[in-house]
Amino acid sequence: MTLRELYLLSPVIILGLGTIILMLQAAWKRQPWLAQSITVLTLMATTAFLIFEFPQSTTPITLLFEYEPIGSFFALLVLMASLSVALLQGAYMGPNSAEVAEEFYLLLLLSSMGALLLVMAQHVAGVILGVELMSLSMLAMLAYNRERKLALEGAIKYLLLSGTSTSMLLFGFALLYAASGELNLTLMLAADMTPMSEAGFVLVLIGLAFKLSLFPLHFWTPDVYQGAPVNSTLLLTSVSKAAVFAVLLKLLLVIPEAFEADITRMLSWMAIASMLLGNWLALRQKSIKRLMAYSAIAHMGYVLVAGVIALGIDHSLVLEGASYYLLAYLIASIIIFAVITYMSQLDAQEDLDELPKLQGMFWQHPWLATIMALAFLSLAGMPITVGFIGKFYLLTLAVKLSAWWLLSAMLVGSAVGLYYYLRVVFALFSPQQGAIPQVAGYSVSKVWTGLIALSLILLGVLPGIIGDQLKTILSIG
Amino acid sequence: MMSVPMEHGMTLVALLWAVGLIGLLARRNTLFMLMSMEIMLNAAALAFILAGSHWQQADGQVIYIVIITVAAAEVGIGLALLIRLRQHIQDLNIDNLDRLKG
Repeated sequence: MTLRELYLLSPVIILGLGTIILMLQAAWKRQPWLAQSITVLTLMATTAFLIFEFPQSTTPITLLFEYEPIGSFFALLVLMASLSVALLQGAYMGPNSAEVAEEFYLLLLLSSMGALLLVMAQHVAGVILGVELMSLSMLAMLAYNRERKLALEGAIKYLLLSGTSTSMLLFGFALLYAASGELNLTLMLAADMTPMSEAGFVLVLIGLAFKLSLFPLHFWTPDVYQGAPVNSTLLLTSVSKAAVFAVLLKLLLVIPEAFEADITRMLSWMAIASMLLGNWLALRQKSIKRLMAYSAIAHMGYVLVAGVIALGIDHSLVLEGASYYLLAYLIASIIIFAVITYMSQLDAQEDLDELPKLQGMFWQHPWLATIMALAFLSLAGMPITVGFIGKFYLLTLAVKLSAWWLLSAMLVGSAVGLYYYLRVVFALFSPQQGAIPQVAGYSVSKVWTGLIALSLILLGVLPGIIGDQLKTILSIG
Repeated sequence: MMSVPMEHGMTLVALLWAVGLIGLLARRNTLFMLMSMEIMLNAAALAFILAGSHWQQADGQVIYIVIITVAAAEVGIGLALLIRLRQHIQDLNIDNLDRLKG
């Protein structure tokens, strides 16, 4: 390893150092606000490094990792989500929680580190380390409140199913290795495709589709989302989706010609089924967390459309569309979960996410209700929000490729989606019924949520701010 | 040294993996489900050793060690969750975990 490689590995090294400092701090003197500050500073330092040293081209870092534009953009998304979780945790936990505070931040840093390793991976070992570091620390966070029975139930379901999907992922990689004799992701797929390697690639896709909760592997999503403490749900829906999607996209970009038609067909059906089923099942949900789970299934279907199109044509435009859409999804999810986080307490048996209980929230918390409504409108794809631009990108791409089936599923899904997103918005603004709890927020996290909400509008009105950047960085990679 | 033919080895791996999957689906005790999951992970790890020996590379064994390490971490968290489950419902039967639905 040269000094240059070591330097480019800094994001991971900074996160690792932060983790060690946090462990020492917890051993020396427990102090929740100090742990939170260390976490936030570590995440900000990592973000700063990634922004100032944004890669112009692909540089390998040892055999296992590489520093390249696509992965780095997704790494920034991951860090944005982790930063939100870290900032929200203080108020969510409250000053006199029965649970320990420091370990949450520790797990948060570890899981961001896993996500970063995952987006940087160019070797099977890197993928395994990244995926497992990320999902195992997340698993511990899903059951963070030890007294919450539903959280435990969700975590056990996630443990068993995620273990199964990991074994499929590994089996798939093993078959690809057996067929090609290479462990590098690109070289592995560049070798001649035999039936064995095709089976392997499909297994790998299934393993990744589980983490993205795409159609046939979506069953765990609603239960885990509803059971977990809301802040951990936010992490699950943002960090793990963004990082895994980066890997999927990278694999799809190097897939051999001969195999493209089959995979396109398979992924198209998965995308169509996810979009329709996710939106359809979300219609009847009362719990916002559960609604967001089904909405996640649908939205991952939309993003997968970009992946399918990536197989066809013009890679840079597709990357731009997928990245923008994922950014839009992340911004909206962060806002929605942040609002629920402000109203809930970790120590309670359940979070305040039942729609009837939130009725008339606008009259008590006008700002929170407004940004939440905006986020839901963005998920529905209303103009002047960032979600509209994301959808616009994908629709343009689908039209360009004449993928009519995908296009019609997207339109039908969006129409159904509009109905249940608007239902939430109407509930927020209807006359107040029950008492809505007071919000005990810390000013820093409120400012951060405000910034995210501002970016939701700003990027919707002026998409060029990020769009042009994306175009230049992704076309080189 | 005579090596095992790839097809035979892969058949073994697929069988082991299927044993794990059937165990996961058929067992009701969470501890045994966890063990079945381990069997599946180890089947995948065995496939890496097999492929490594076919290509005469040490890489397969390196990945095997990585997988074993990761699986140990997974079981660590899994067993911690089982202890909580046992304290909550005095039972390890997975059918009791049915409160989340809809």
